[in-house]
Amino acid sequence: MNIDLTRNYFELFGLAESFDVDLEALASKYRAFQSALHPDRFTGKSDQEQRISVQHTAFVNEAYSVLKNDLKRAHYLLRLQDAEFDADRETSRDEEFLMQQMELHERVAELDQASDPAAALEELAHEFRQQQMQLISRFSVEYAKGDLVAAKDSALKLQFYDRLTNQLREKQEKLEEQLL
Amino acid sequence: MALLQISEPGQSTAPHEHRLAAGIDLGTTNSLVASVRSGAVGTLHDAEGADILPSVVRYTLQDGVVVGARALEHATSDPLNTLASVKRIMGRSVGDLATLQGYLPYQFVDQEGGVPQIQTVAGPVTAIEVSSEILKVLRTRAELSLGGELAGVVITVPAYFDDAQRQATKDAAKLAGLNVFRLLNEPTAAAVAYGLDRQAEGVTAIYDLGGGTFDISILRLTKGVFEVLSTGGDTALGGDDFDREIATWILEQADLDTSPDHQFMRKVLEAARNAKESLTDANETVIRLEHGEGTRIELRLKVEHFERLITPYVKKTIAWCRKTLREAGVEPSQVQHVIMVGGSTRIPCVRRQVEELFGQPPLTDIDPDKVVATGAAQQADILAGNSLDSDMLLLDVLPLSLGVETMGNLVSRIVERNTVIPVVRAQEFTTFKDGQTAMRIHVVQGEREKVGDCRSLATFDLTGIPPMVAGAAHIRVTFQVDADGLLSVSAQEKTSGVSASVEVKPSYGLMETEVEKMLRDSFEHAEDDMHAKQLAEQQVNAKRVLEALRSALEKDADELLTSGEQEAIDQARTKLEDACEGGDSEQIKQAITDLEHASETFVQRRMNRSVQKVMRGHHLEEFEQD
Repeated sequence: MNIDLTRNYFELFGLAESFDVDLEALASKYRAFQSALHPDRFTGKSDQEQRISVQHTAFVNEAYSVLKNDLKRAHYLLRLQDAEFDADRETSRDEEFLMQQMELHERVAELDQASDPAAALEELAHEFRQQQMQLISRFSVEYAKGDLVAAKDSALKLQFYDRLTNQLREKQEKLEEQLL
Repeated sequence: MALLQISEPGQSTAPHEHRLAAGIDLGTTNSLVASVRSGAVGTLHDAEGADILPSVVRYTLQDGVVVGARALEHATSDPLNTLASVKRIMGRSVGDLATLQGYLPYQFVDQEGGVPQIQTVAGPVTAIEVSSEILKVLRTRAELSLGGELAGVVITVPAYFDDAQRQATKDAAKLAGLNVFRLLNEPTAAAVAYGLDRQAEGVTAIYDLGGGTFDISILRLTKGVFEVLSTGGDTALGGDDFDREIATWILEQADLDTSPDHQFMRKVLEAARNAKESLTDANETVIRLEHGEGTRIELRLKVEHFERLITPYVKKTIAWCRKTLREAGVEPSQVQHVIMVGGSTRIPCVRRQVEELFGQPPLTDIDPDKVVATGAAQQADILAGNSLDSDMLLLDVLPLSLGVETMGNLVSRIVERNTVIPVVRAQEFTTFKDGQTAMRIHVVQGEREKVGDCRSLATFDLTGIPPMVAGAAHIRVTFQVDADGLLSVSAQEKTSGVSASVEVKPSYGLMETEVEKMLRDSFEHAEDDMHAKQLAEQQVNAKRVLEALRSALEKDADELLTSGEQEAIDQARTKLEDACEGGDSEQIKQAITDLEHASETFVQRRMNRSVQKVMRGHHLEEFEQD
């Protein structure tokens, strides 16, 4: 019965199953769904309608949060192709990248000793952003070509940068708190 | 603009009956109720013409419960029975009290766990009951002013309130006999107040510095949709801190002990507050106090020194702003509007620092004390269905991450903070031992990694798992957060399809049955009243269900139902109508459940059709015409 709740997220939003999505179109469809389904539209209605509205809205919210985020969308596409990875356990097998990872971890750890930690941090964050952009376009090409092995590797690398960026953010917050 | 009309599939075509609705700002220090009347929003006043109700409740033996200004008068003379700032202990545990005791000089009942109780002459009371007394006064005021019973209310809560605190607020409303349309974040309500007036588009920051709490929210407004991008704040930072800083300074200057008696301390704090307020538009102020046997204190406080005293706090709020902006992925310069909420934002130095951060003067045209209630009233009016021309929709986020306890006292996140709600997430668990038939799951809320550093929300006992070898059972636990930010949990064993039963034990909140009991107790010696109330409630419920279904069937039965399906629904409708004639509330309740069961498929199909229409990309206006 609940066809909509098992629907593929791309299909739901009327998008081709591709990494490249029109974010504007996505957002406008999302708002249209919310306007039609959100529980606020059912305040005077039966509990049943409200409950079903919550389920539908929740599903649309989940789909949207996946589709609008590059890493989550990449992960979801791989899942649709049965090439899913375990975000908590798997890492890239690229040995060169493993060396690079260690080096980057060290650079993050050494930030505290920099003469101007805030500037050094901003520089590193900028470098990460560029790497992420590169990986995103690489994933897009690899996925479009159907090279799932390569695409998965790029997604894993992207995930690494995502985590490292989170670490940077935490450091930045600590720095800001110290300045107060 | 017809957007809202079409998106309510059950909308009756008959002219809409105006339903009475109100917005309530249930504040730490003060509370307000506001409503939209003849298209204009305004706060509602009591018989004496005051709209601000001090959030103070006094329990007495002779005069019963006294709320507001009359209770506040006794804050000094009868401190233990005059309860203020109870919002600070809403949804808090006995264990949390140690950190709050400094703020709350009350006698708590000695107890092991659960909801803390305050000892008063009228017996022990919980924060939920105290809050419900405030809400009752506001409800009566609204019903007198508006001339009828309220269909529902919107109550505001700090953006940072966790599940237990939101639930406690809802329980207090239930106890006060209020139907809650929606719990709304205070900063979001403020944005509603300004957004409707200005039709703002773009990113808005809401800086809310009240008496006891600080909140910063970053919202994006696009085509009538308010999206909360992120929220942050500190539940223990506010104007009271400024008062305390001045009070400490006064005591230092006067060479007095910093822990003097209670009554004198209240006087010092009052003088401090007056000084703070007069420094809003003066460069200096004179503080005069009497201490003990005619010792006079006279001090001159310059605005520069006052600002130095409060700067650490203001800086802290600015740091929160930066952090929250970063979480929203927004630069300060990208913020189009900054809205000021809370009395403490009247302080020029606060305004200056906010202006400096955002590079623009903040909006202050709506009274910062009333802006939240104003927005809540507007939202209540929309939810009541009174302003059908409004296409505004409010999307909110989960303020704090939800997770479960895993091995080693660590938290496994299930829903990240700032996820748009409602949200449903499923997580699979498996058994640890052969033949294991039960499992305990501990749900926590917070951003820290260790369970002990997060708020414990509830424990769930899953029972009835079919015995299997360890690791073979797959229990899928579904966490649902509704539009109020409240959590509910269900579980199913996947291989056998058996629904494991879930019993929720709220760590700090009240069980559903306890709320029922309190509700019953409030009707004490009047069993009949209670029955009459329950019956009336169920009859109203039944009417709502029948009416919604009737108009839905009229429109769509032909298209979406087979004659057999329709017949089953009609039978259940007749049964419910018959039950309404009788006087048994339980029977009505059962008949409603049966009818909902019979019409489940129909309601689902209608909702799916709405989904499909959006998918096909019809313009919303087109819906209306079918």
